Amino acid sequence: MKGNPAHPIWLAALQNGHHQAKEKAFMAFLDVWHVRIYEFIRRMMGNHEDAQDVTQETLVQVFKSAHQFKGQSAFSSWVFTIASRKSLDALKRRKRTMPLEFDDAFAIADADLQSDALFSGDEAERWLHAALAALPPRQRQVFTLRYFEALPYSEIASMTGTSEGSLKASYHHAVVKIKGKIATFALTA
Amino acid sequence: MRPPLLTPPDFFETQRSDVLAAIQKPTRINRWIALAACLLVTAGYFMAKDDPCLTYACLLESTPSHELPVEWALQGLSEDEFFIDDWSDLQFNDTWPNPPKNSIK
Repeated sequence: MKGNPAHPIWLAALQNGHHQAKEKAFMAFLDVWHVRIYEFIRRMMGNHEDAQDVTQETLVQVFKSAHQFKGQSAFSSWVFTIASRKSLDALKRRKRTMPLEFDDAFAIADADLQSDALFSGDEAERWLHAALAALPPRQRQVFTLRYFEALPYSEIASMTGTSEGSLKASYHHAVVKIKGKIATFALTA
Repeated sequence: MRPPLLTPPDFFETQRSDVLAAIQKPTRINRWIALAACLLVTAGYFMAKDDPCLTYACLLESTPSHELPVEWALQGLSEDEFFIDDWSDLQFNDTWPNPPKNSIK
């Protein structure tokens, strides 16, 4: 991709272009971002079906709100902010069906992944993703953005509206829980 | 898509088409809504628009009798119309020109 990766070359057309130019720019956006957004949302949601719906909502929202991006932050931050909000909203909607305890949530997520035809990981990867799915939504968001997307704390802080210190604490709690599960797996394997 | 997270075959192509359809649809719908609104406003305008009431007869007909100022009505009548053959047909009392209901048989 040419141009500044923080503000890609098709962004102006996506924000201010006429409808056809905007659609063309949006297709260029999808070339770069579609898979990345889906992967992030899939990790947030824990399964393909929910990720499919939330990804669709996110992409449509990006198209509708592109003119609101002021360029004060990186474009990636703006996109992940939308994807995060859509994911958190969807998780909130299904919250009542989720157990509160981490171990209970982990057991359910692990069983779901075992029967998931669209998950091809080995046992260690399954435990990692089950532990991720068992985290509270906010911790899952911070862990996914930091660990999988490798975003700096400053960028995550501007997205979530929280301090870097608070984010580091959230990330630390998430790492401790996931490491605990991985250690259990290493002992039992 | 990287393992271990897999997607159904052609998932991204299908979703891309769905998203493009979703962002195009509202524009088409909005055009139809705008057209329908224009038609409604135009139809409403023509339905509400009355011909201007310019003649005395039209004004008299369109004004409820209890709203008619008697003097204005009398001034509006020509002498021929004002002439009444038989004044005894008129009963002057407090309720004129609307007689009490119980007086009508």
